[in-house]
Amino acid sequence: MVRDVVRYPDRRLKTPAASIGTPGPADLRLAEDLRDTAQSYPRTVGIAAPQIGAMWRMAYVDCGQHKKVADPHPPFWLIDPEVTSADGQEVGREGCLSLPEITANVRRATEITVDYTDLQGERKQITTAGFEARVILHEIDHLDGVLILDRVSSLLLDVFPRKRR
Amino acid sequence: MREIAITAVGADRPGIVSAITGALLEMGGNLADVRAALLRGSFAIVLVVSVPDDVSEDSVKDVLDPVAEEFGLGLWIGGADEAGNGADGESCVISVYGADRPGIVNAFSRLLSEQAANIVDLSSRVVGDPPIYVLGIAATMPAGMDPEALRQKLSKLAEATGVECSLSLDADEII
Ligand SMILES: [Zn+2]
Repeated sequence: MVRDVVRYPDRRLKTPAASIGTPGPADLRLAEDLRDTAQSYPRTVGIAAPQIGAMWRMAYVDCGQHKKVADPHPPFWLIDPEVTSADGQEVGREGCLSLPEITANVRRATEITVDYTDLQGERKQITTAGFEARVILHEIDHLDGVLILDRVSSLLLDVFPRKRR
Repeated sequence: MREIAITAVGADRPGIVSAITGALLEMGGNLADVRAALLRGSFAIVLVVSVPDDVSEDSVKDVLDPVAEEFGLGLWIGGADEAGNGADGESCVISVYGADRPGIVNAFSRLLSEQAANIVDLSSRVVGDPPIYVLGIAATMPAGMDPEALRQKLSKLAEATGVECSLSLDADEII
């Protein structure tokens, strides 16, 4: 089901989400809602549960067909993700569904390994780089109540108004 | 509510922003966008403020004149233009740096103007010794413009001018 997207200054976006542990039926419904909501917006490659008002540590990532990602993983859900290693640093421009009017330059690791639980409740590990790593780190930030505006080195120089489309 | 644009420039000293915004707040103004910067010894501020419909530009002037007097500021007040900028294509940021010499801003702004790109933000300064000129421009390209074509023109100009130049495009995807 497509859910309404929460936009800043809604305080839920600044609130850390709770761990899920072993996913149950409600979590599987949340997973579907995340996918449906992300797919209902053009060019949207990831969404985190707090962005639809669900304060649980789950995110959905789909970098398929994205021009910046040569070899994307198939769409996947991250439950209780934890970054176990991060290397490299790069500044890149990010836009966020919850801050639709701006984009911002954010410094992120370029290569990461993340442990997470999949929808079957199994603990998995993903290693990825570049834009897909950026997307995962952006979603994990959402689970911690962190927005791109918290990540810029300068609100003056690194935040740009986005053209309305 | 209507919007009014205000610029004030003068020799720098503490308290200018506080005095101007305090006077505007008192007359029911609500700040929209503000840019202010210290350029060498001159402090410059541009504000767009929304005011109640019955507040005229003259009454804003009446409120700010004493502040301008106190701080020695040159003041300009006028109606704010809400119209768009004409260029409605992709946004981009152009960064230029190189050995300081006259004509860098002019060369790059002329190129953008010839391409019908619209500058929405620009700042530049001379830093270091020997002096390096650094210039940052945010611009909107006309609809349908190929960013790669602009990138090539910019790098050709950079080469001709003897400066370094890079073009970064807005993020297209949403995370
Ligand atoms: Zn986001």
